[in-house]
Amino acid sequence: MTLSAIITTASLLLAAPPTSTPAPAPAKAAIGMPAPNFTLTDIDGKKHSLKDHKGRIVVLEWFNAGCPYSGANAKQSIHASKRASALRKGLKAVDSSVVYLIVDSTARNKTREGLIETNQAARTQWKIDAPMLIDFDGTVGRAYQARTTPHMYVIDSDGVLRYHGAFDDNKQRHSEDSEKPSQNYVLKAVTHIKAGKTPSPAKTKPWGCGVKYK
Amino acid sequence: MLLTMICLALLGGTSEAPPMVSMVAHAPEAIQPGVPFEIRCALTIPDRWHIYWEDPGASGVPTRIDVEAPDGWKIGPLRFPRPRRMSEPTGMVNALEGRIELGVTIEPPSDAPHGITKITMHGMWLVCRDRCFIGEATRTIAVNVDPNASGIHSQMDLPGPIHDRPETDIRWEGDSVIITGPLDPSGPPGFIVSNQPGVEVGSPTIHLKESRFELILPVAYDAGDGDGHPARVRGLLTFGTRIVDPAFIIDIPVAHTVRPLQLREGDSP
Repeated sequence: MTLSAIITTASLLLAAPPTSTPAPAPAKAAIGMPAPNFTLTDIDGKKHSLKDHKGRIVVLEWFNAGCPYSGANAKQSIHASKRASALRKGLKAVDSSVVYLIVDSTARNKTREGLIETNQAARTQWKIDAPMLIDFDGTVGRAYQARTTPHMYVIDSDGVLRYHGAFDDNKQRHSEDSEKPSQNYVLKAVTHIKAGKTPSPAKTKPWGCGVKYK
Repeated sequence: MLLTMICLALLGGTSEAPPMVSMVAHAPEAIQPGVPFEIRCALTIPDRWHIYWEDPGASGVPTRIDVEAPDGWKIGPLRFPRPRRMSEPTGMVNALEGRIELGVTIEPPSDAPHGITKITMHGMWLVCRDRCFIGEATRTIAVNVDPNASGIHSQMDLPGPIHDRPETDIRWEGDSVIITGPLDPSGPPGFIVSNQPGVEVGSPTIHLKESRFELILPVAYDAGDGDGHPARVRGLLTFGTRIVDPAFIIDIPVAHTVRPLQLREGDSP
């Protein structure tokens, strides 16, 4: 939690009268607050709104087909290494109703059509079975303050943001840690939510290529 | 200092031509058993491209040099030069550009066998401009363990510990780290945070009085987000704005006076 967030939260707690009305979603994503709603079109032309998934846990993955930690053909890629598909499988085992959405906000020097084609190719190459949403103008990415690819978000069944940050602890690239199993923070957060606990950690430092917004 | 190895690392990537980063490793010709020595890895990054500091900032991945030496040899932490703060759409990043050197201190055991010993360095970095590529290089250098070695080894001009700076003090006051000391002719003091899990360091407040400064760093700590990592405040105390200006490593445990955070609501990414 940032210092400014503590002050803001304390101010809100002191100022707000008791009410049963859910807090409105803030313009920017914040842990413990309703996640900003969005409507984006996927690479097949289908629209997806966050609010349509109320009642289910939603996982968002920021994606870039050209980033070696995300969708490029590199051993560090969460898709090429099959860590992303393993996560989706693991999530289904914890909660079969989990919704997994991939978002691409990397539009610098690209056309919308080109971005869609690139993502379609990545979907085929990595056998991605999750909707791939195009955030061409970067509005959703900026609202979630998505900084890297990958950058992960977990939203609970009430629409509240419960985790954001790294995909995992990235042990694969740390040779001295190679004997330690890596932990996936997203799976851990969803497991905690299903057990009625607060995800811990609720926030980690994301790693990967910077999102190249338009 | 012996120039031991030069390699050109071809970076993995896609149809776009990836940049080439050269890696040069240096080590002393001969070392004494039980006496620490330093090895350096020089990386040359092509113009307009950058790699990342130990804390990349808003995005990116830290550059790594993993060192393998025989059992019983102590390998110190990787030491980075001062980064350049660079504004990206995702926030400020800590970039390394041009020709940079990274260093590692190695201490052989006092009973290290005499003769040639091999040390392997595996470098890995993310090099970015409008897009990013991963670069890797692995090279082995040889050092001669000789009890009659000169024992005169080069000193690296990388940031050293704050204790090396005269009349400079660092202490905790409640939830804040206070650093005081004499000003530097290079320019005003500043602080580049190397974020540690669970520890949040706020923007510094700087007071200047006559020829001295006081730099105050507010600190918050969340054990849950620490995920078992030791709670430390780490970063560089800097003077001036150029990457060649002085910088000193700050690395201290979080004091018990820092109250653990309980609230999560309103936590901003």
